[in-house]
Amino acid sequence: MNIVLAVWEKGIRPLSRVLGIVSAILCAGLALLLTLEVIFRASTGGGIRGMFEISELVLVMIAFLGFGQAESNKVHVRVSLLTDRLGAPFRLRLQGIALLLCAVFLVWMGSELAMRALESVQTGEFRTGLLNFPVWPGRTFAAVGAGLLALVMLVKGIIMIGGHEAQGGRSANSQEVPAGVI
Amino acid sequence: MSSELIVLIVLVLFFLMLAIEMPVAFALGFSGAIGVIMLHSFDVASSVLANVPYESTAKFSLVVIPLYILLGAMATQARIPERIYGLINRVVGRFRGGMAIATIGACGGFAAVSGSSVATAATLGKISVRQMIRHGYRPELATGIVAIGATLGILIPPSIILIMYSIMSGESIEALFSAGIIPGILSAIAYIITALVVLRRQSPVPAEDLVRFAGLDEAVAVGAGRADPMLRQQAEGGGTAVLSKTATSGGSRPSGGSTASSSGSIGSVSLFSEWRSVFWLGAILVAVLMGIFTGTTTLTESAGVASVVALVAVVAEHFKGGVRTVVGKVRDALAETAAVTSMIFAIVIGAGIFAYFLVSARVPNNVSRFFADVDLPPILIVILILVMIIPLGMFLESMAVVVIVVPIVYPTIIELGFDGIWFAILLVKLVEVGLLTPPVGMNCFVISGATGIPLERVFKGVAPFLVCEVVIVAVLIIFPDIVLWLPGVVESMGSSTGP
Amino acid sequence: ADGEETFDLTWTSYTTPNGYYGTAMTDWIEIVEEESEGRVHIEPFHMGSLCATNDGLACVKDGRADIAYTSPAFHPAEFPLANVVTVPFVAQDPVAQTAASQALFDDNAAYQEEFQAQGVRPLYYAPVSTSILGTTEEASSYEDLEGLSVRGTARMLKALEIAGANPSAIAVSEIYESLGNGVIDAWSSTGLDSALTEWNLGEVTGYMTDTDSGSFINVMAVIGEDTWNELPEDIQQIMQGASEQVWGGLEGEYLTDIYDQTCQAADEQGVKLSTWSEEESGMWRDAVGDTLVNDWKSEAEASGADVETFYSDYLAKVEAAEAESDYISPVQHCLDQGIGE
Ligand code: NA
Ligand code: NA
Repeated sequence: MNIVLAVWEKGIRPLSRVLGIVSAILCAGLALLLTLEVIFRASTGGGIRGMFEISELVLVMIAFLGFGQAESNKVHVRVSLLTDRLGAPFRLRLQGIALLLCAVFLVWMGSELAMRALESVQTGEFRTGLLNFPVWPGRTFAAVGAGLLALVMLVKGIIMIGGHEAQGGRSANSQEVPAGVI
Repeated sequence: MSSELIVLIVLVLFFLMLAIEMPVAFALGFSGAIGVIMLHSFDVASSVLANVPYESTAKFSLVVIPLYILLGAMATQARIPERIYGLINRVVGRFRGGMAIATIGACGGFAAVSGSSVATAATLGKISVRQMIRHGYRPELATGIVAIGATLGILIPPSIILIMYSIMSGESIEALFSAGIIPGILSAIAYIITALVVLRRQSPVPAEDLVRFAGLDEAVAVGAGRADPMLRQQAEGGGTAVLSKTATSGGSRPSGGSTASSSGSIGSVSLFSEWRSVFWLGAILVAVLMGIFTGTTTLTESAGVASVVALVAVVAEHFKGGVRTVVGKVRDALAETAAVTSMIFAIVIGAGIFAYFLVSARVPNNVSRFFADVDLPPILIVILILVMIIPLGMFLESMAVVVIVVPIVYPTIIELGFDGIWFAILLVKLVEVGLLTPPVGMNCFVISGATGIPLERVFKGVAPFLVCEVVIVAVLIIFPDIVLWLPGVVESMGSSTGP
Repeated sequence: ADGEETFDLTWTSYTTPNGYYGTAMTDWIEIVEEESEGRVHIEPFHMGSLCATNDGLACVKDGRADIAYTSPAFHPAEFPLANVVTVPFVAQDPVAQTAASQALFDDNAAYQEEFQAQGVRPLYYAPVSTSILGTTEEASSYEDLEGLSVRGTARMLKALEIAGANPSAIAVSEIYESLGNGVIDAWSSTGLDSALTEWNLGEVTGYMTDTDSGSFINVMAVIGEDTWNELPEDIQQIMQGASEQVWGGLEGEYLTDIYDQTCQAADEQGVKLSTWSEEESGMWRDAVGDTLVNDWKSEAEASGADVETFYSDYLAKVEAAEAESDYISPVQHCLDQGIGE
């Protein structure tokens, strides 16, 4: 168990944190990029070349690279109506099983996405536009994000099945975290 | 195995996964994928997983989602919602019912910069519930007011749910956004009336609740429970004294202290800073509305510009605190935006996988056929559809409801000769109901989490407002022009620029 | 027993059921279901409800859907040769362009291999009527493109850039609002029919002109090769017959019906229609020169095909088909009826 905890604290959490930071910086980048587009158009009449393709790729990166960090902070929306009523040992194990199921699903999805990304690289998949924008980077980020989240779920799941809380940043019920946005 | 049986099994699987606390996104994705295996094959399911996550994410029309989240997060870091709340509270908070007006008013104001109800609930829940309880609102009512007020977040533009509706139906986002404004204002008024009625009829707040949820001293609370004026005096006059008590009573909750400091700061902020927040809110509104009404930007761009305005507000508001403070606030807002964006796209992906399952099991087509064959007046069919959405909204996450329901019923609505924009607003009202009902009621979860008030009591407090919602929906059905008038005006403004 | 087996197929489309392709799709399904006497049932899924626009091809390849409406333009890497149709100023006549595509599939080995490699085969090609330039002020000459902020797609973006315009890849659904907001002054790369009947663009752009930049997109209905091979020969023949019926007489009822609706919409929205003179469209064509053809060629060469041989085969087929075709553009159709003058 100590090894798993160490993997969590020294490996998975910092890794998802780094990708989360990249995702966060890209959020600001996206807003600035669109504002620049408005300014350019107002001043020179022309927009940024490949604006659409770039913002789509940035969106994909924000969404997938933040996957792991969102789970580290327990931001992914879940329903605890039943689990809240259970004692800690049983609850942790049930939650651990749920995380392992997620990990199974995400390993499956992540490997499918990875193969699809590889296929995209091999065929040189692109979309025609002002720039012939390649599709493979987006597909690769999708695979990386899903893979990372699979790791987070797996390690967290093992820790919780062992009867421990996997320490993330903030707890799910903390008011600092908007547990959803809809 | 018949496809009906497979659909049933998959639904059972989905709810089992939800019950053991699998995140909604992956419960949708996994149960959907298993359904695809049963319906087709493992290879087909693998193909869904290989393609749907990327294809459902890489859409330019979805770029607005992180931008609106960023906008809301930055506005919160710039302390706009709490100061707007403080300002309205200053004006109407003198009498007991004023707190309800202040809370719902601030919800409406924040709704105009936030695309989501849950963000609105999270932001205003921490500030307002404690204050209301201190002013003699029972915890049920106080949380009910925030929970219902927060639903304005998806009715008043911007709105992530309306964006989703636009994507699923092809209706214009501008028309949808402008359609939400008047029903949003009407709803806010109706919520205020409901809150005032409930407030008049409620019994006094139990002393125990004052201690637990309003952080009052036990002796004060017992006295206050008997006589409201005393309680009010305590709450208004003794801001700092109450604060120190809060810190100890909130010990078990790691972030209890920050609630205390933020509610405490309401009393201490200057009138100037409150009016500054009004300025920022106005500037953000101008940037957002530029995309809807006039101006020089597309909707996506206006969301980007508005976020940058909010970023400037964060810098300006924390400038005195030094570079470190500013960087910290910006970093927090960005981190939150990234995490919440990922969370939303996880749901978009999960719902996409689940939707493939439902669609290929012919569920939408069969439902459409059922409605086409049913021999009822069209308006009754619409009502029937709306009633059928309620149980879905109770169980599913609201984005998932839109993703699943719109492709199924939108064609029917159009075939029956109804307006897709009008139906969108009715759908949003029902999604709001879903946000407030057990077992999956996001607004209630967030408010319960933020205040420590048990979920059951929050749901109980929401009940009278659900009655209010039904009345509003009925009014919108009878008078569709309430919804359709403004989009009509906006459209005529747009075409007037042509020759 | 043989001939008794039934086939339950799905068809994913990214367009509306009511539009141009939707109608053809419905009719095709009806013909096949009727003539197979119930042995084939085809369930249509519209507006990307089963598979997203860019996912249609993968859906058919992987068996998530049996038939899909897609376009070579969505998949330039997968269909390098079929993307020959995406070069503006080459084929002037959309009907001839799709006929040439069908002819390529019938007898060009390299073209067939491209589809085999993807595991799909085209059931029929559907033409997209010629690209229109919609403007708020009359644009009747090549010079008018200079400095114009105009919406475009794919290779047309580059053609517009060459003409000195500021092109942007705004989605067709965002044209209306972007014009109202002054984000763009004009749009292109959309047919007159879809601009008027689907997007009501006549309300924001009072002038629509056919710049004679030709036909540079087509839509194809593709079926998975495996699914196709599982079908008995008689059903395959029924399907081929349906394709010929629906798209064989291309100048027939589909185009006429949609044109009449289009002209009516042009009249209601008060749009002034025109066609560029040979001279003006020639100036644009000369300015673009071989740039876009060479872009396509270099993309296609990466696939290892003999691009030059293929290209001359395509040009010959287009020429042959144009000689056969009596296509008139929707602009001309309306003007002939005295609408849009
Ligand atoms: Na909003
Ligand atoms: Na609910």
